[in-house]
Amino acid sequence: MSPGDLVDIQTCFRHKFNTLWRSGGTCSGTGSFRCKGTLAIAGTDPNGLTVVTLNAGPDTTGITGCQVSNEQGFPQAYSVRHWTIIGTFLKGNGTNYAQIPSCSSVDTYAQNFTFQDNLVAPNPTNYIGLKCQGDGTPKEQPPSRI
Amino acid sequence: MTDITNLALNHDVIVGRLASSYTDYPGGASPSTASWFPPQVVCTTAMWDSNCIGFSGMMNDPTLTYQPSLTDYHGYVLDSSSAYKAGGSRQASDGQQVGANIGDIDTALTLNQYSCSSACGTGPYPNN
Repeated sequence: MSPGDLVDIQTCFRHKFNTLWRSGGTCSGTGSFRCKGTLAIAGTDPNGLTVVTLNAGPDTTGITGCQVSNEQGFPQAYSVRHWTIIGTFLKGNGTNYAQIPSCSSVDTYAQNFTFQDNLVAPNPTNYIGLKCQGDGTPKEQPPSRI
Repeated sequence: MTDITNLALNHDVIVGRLASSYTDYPGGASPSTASWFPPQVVCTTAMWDSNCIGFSGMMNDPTLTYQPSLTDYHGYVLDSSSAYKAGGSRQASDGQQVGANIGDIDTALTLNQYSCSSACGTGPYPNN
């Protein structure tokens, strides 16, 4: 793990160290989707097992049993520009509608993603937009994934 | 999901969806004003209007017949009346047409040498 990576922390004995979960746009602490993790900062060793993050408290002890991942934050610097997208998609049963871009099975926080100057023109009869669980950008569909 | 603090999402044409479902990034304008949401692909008349895109192969069709597999891909060139062309009122963020530049594809298909735009070796090399 490197400084700048998003760090997802789970299963700590003191749960205040854990990355929060959410069911909507607000990180209330419960729900099915992970909130954005904290950043790994200087002192994190890309070649070792040391990960350093800021601790907002209130717990300062009991950092045991934690599972730490940098699964969030990828892909990075992914750019889709000047695509013309044409095609006919079969309307499915609610989980198989046409989506562009396609979905990720991981609730990540892709960094520096660009989707710009594209002409998304499938048959509008079967097209349901940019999101996996209903169209819209994260602000409109916070529990879903792009 | 994407991190909206460094997401760029704008100047896209998204057919059949609603601006109220989208937010522009950067900036956070909602409903979106920096992308466009025509209800149809096909234009019913020979001139572009805001209800369609303006592909040259899908103009002047009152039946709105969608053409996903035109035998000549040049049918996906934007009609001169389309606002999504370079110089149009809905051009891309870089001043070019929105979507693919079909002319550039033609050029690439007929090139027999590729010249690097910056140092990349001792080329150009024959493209065959």
